[in-house]
Amino acid sequence: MMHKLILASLLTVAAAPLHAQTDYYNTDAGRPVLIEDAYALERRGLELQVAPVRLSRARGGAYTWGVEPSLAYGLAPRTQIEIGVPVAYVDGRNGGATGISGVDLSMHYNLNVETRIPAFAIAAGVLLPAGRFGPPRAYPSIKGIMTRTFPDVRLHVNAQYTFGDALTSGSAPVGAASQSLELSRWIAGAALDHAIALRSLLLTAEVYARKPLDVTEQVEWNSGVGVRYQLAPRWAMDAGVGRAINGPSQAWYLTAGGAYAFGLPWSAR
Amino acid sequence: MIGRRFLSRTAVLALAITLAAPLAKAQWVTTYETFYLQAPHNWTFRDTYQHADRLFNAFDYGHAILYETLWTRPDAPASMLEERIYDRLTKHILVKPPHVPLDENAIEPMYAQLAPEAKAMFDWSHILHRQIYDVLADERLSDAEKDRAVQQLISYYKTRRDLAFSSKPKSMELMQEQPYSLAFRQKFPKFNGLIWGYHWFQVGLYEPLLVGRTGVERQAGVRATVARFWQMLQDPPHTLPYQMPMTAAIAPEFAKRYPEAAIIFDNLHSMHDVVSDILANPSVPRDRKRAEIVLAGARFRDDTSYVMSVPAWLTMSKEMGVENMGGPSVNFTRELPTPTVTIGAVMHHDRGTGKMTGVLVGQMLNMSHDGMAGMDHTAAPAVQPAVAATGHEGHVMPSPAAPARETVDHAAHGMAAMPGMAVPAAKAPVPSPTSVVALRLMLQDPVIRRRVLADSALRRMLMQSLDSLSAADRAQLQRLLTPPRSRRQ
Repeated sequence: MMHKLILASLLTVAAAPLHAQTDYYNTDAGRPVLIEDAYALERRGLELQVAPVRLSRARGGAYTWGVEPSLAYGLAPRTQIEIGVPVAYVDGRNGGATGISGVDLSMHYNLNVETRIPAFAIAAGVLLPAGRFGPPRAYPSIKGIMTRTFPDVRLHVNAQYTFGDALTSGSAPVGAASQSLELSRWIAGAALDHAIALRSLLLTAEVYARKPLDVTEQVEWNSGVGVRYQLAPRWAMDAGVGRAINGPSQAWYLTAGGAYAFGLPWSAR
Repeated sequence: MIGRRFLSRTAVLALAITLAAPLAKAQWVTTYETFYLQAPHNWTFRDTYQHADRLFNAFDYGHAILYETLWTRPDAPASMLEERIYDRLTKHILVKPPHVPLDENAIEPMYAQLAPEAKAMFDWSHILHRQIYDVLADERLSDAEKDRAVQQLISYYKTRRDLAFSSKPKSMELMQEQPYSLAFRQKFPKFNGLIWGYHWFQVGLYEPLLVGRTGVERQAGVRATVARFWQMLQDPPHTLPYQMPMTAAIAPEFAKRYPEAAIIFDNLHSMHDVVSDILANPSVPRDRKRAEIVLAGARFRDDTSYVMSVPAWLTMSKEMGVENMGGPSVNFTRELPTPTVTIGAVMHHDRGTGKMTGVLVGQMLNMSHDGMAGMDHTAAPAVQPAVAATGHEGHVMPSPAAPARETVDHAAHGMAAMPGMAVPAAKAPVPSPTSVVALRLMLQDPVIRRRVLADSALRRMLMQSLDSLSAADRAQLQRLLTPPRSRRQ
């Protein structure tokens, strides 16, 4: 059981579906909450998630640390691509273990800008088998995103589905991978955020459900809150806290990070 | 039975889709953002001139909260913008401006939904604005390198043809003579003046960066321009600009060196006013506002609508009078210049030459040039007799607002086609003692006198205005208004 809880805590470390944007108001999945908005990184923009740290504590006291450096690029209008490499450190009875939790590739395509019609986006990603804590095979996923803005708050709704064979808990890699958010069979949830515009500060809260890819596990409910803050024109910082309300781990997590935005050189010639 | 129900539901669905399709098409917007040009000069202005840079962040807020308020609170009393929000802006936000550029989506979320294309145009042009400050503030660059860098920024800006304002000058007809025009300035003269004050500062700040020969001079110049901006806020709306600041008038050196940029910024600032008018004018139904804003945006982007030549644009800028725009942004006198028109007056200009042909709304004030820093006395406008020299003293609020011109057809922009246009009645005004002195001093200037004498209409009108003066004053001014040859005869 302990072993499973430790592995379960990896889910919060390997929370991989990052979608970067260059300012505080444009939310990224996992920075600090999972539910994101429909907008993509600006065209020609690059964003480096320098050191998004995540600490989680599962029931039983096992701690897991994780970092997922990633780089996103605004490839085309309303389109971004991203690569992330999550690295986890798992605390265990016999000492800790560090390893890569896969390689995450994703593309985010924003269909439209919000008018009377909400903004919509679709995203596709794949978590590749790599590293000690990575999944046993590649798992592709697709996601639909909607953003609707009201005078004081924005509502974001996300729904994600992952393809691939179901997993069963048993072997360590499979068990670990099955706890990754990337390897949920589905995720559905909503977030509300409120901006304090003059302070360039965004307050956000989310709730979502996920069905693990492990067929033996039940639907798990999660909640989280967080803030994003524009520290400088190029730097957006974030911090958040959340927990799994039910499920085997009922893990708490804390997360904090910073994203640095820059662009590619350009010449008229 | 089931088949009939299925068919009827299908028919209803098809009808609903058919009816909703045009709306969905009109509302389906796919504009997008592009990252600013990556360059070594990025954010140099912010690092070097922090006190000035932060004001721009406050301006972002001011523009955005204006549009959001106009759109979401159409029935609010004028005092909401003129008093409450104005005070908040000038007493708090400008005093302690935000530390980073603001995301206007967070300030004007409902306006951003209304016209995201227009918002994207503004955002893209504001990036150009800021990046040019960076170039001019970068002490590592030589003049030639700065010129190349600015040219590169303009080229980059133009890569977004769907967002870039035209670099062809646009006539003021596009801003001031549309069916919805003037609603904002007439209902919110103080806030309108503040927006023009922002625009004065935004284009004016280029000038000290250009004319300063060293970093120290540039620092001093920027500080002086910042101080001048604050001076404009002392007694609003009287101390704020009375006309839209034109870059060629406020920052002539900048306009001369980078005319394309200057034209783009004038077009940008014109469209700011246009959007304000569309939002503020109740004669534009709410379900038409988006269409009007999108149409105006297209006209400001294309190179054909309301275009005038660069020389005509320069002439128009001059004839509008720098003293009506807040004055020059460098080398100014201690006192603010004295405007020569009523607040928000509308001049009409010949699109071919840029020459002013008349005042459509508001009035010319007495022609006192005291304190008119930067005014070119060789370019006195040819004033329509019916509206010149009304004898008002100093700063005068407009006479009762001109009727809204919502009845005017879109295609009709000539004066004759604007039945609602207010042209003050022709009558002999009564000059005040001060204006008599000012007029005498002006006419003793040989250049001014020659120009006045060359304008028979102006001369006739001035002669008529002398009737109410004392005999001594009348005789003296009549002598000055009489051509030398006539006097000999």
